[in-house]
Amino acid sequence: MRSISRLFSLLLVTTFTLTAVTGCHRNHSANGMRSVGKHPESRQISSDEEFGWTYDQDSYSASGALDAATSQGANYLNPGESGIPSYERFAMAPSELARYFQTLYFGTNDDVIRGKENFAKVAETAQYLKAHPSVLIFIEGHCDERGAAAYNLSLGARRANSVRNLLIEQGVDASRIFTITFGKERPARGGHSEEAWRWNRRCEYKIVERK
Amino acid sequence: MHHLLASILLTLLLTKPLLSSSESLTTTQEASEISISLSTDTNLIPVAAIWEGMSQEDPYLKRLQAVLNFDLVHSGHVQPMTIAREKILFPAQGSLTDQWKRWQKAGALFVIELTISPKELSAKLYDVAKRRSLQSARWELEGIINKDRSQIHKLSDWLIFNITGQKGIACSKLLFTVNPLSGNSLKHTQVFQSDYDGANAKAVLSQESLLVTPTYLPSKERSSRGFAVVSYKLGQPKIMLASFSGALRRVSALGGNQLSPTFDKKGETLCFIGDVDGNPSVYLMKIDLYSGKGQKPVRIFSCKKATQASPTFSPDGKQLAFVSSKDGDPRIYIIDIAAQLANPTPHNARLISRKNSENTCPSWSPDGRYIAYSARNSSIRQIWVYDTQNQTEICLTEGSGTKENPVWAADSFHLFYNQEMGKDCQLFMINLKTKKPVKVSSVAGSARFPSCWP
Repeated sequence: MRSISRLFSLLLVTTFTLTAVTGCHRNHSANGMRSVGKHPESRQISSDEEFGWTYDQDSYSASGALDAATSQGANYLNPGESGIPSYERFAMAPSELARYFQTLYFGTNDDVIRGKENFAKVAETAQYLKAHPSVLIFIEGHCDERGAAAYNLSLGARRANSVRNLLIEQGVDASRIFTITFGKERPARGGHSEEAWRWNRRCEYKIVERK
Repeated sequence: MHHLLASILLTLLLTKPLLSSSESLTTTQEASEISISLSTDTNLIPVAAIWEGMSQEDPYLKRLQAVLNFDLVHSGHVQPMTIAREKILFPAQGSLTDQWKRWQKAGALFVIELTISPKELSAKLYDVAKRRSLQSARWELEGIINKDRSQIHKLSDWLIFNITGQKGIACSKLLFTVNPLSGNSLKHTQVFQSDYDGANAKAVLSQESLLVTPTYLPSKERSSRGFAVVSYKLGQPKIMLASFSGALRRVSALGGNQLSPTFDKKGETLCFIGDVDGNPSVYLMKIDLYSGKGQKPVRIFSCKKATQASPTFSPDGKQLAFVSSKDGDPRIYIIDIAAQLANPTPHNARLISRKNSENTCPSWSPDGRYIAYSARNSSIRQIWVYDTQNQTEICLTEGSGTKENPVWAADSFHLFYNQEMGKDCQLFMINLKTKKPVKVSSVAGSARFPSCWP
């Protein structure tokens, strides 16, 4: 009887140990972080370093937010005011300049410029703009049909600003670059397939020469 | 022996949470298949109605009856009964005591005696269980169904309040955008206003530009003075204040794109998404709705590599719920406004949407208990409700058709949202008890972004 009870105890402890180990394994994604939610990419942020940048308290203070932003490439000026042409005056680049203003494409839910090809396109755009300081540019951010309409308006703005920020980093004057979001309201292609969607997740340019 | 008991107890204690989590996983995975009821009584109160004063075959009377029936059926509280008229009518001879017994036998808990003439409508409400009655006010009629509908709605709200103690929403109005199905929809968007059941829909703003996310301006008056809307008239999307007389003015000279305007209950603070600093972030702006003048906007939440969207105030104005993709997928977070202003960091945000991917467009209920939002579940976007009291997420809708932009009615019990069905997109209403959606718009075009008054 005593040996049976000891055997049973050992079995219970072993069962517990195995369960704890496999449960922990299930609760962690491949990168070792605890996953939450159903989406495989989701995970809980637990430290500043995971953001990839340091949160600058001073830059984001409530009262100084806008003043600080102007010195960091803010989209401060309004087209149609202060001598800046209104949006209607901007147009697609003529065919001879098309190579400098090529459409950029994004992955699903993505807002980051990826791939050598896209970076090369942005570099060409930046090079042209630096060489032609009278040219102003509007970056239009677009999304495919699958996201919620209200969220896609923000995502379109995020995509346009990603391109804008990259152009500023490459030396283009921030005051010449404007953004506009259309979310999923202006698709380039109709259809309800990945083939259509990939062409709609994009940023396009419109330019005008200031005289 | 002690060793054995301790092992069993330890094993049970340590495996119980794992069993619980697997059960909740099952619930999560089957959320679209099972119906999880909120803690409300699903029994509807049976109500019978008698109309007196006009011929039962009168087409005008039939239309009024249809309006009342819609209001009662979709109130979520009562169930109109179909009873033979002779069982409900007062007999030519007989006591009131006998009448109560007859009604009780017929199964009605309440009986409504409606007296109608071409000029006037009134009602008497009989509480069968308590054997007492209540007389309503008199409502004037004009004989024009589109005008007299509003009087029926007032009657409906009076009935619902006196039957249930809950406020009715039949007198509510809806504001929403309409895009034409064909042609250049970006050039011909309109803002429409209609009754809560979709009747009397008419355009209140037309522009040759895109219009999105209209929202009523808060007011203590009986009717709204106007609304805010995002207009592309100036090129970039800007928030405009619009009156129903057609006046339009811009809210702020702030640069960049401005999106998703929402006001606190007092109408003193505007919250919106702006990208003036190079990223779509959450901004607050003190505003005087009477003069239309606002103070300098203040950025309250930003995350450098994330998209923020769709803020909504708590009813006490002390918290904000909004969407952020800071943790990968768009999710819904809550921040305390005062704490965030004192310490503006992304770490203060509390995650509330955990079950699904792509959680968007939150809307806080007027009583503060629920946050409704749209989330993708099994590839279909459904309307979900987060219960702040017990931190649970409940799926309210089911079936095909993308559902977005939920907005609460004043009773914190009904929701309006838009649902796409192929090329068509119309507004629907649903309540937390019956969860039976009903279409409440029939515009020629795509109806989206509903806002509800009051």
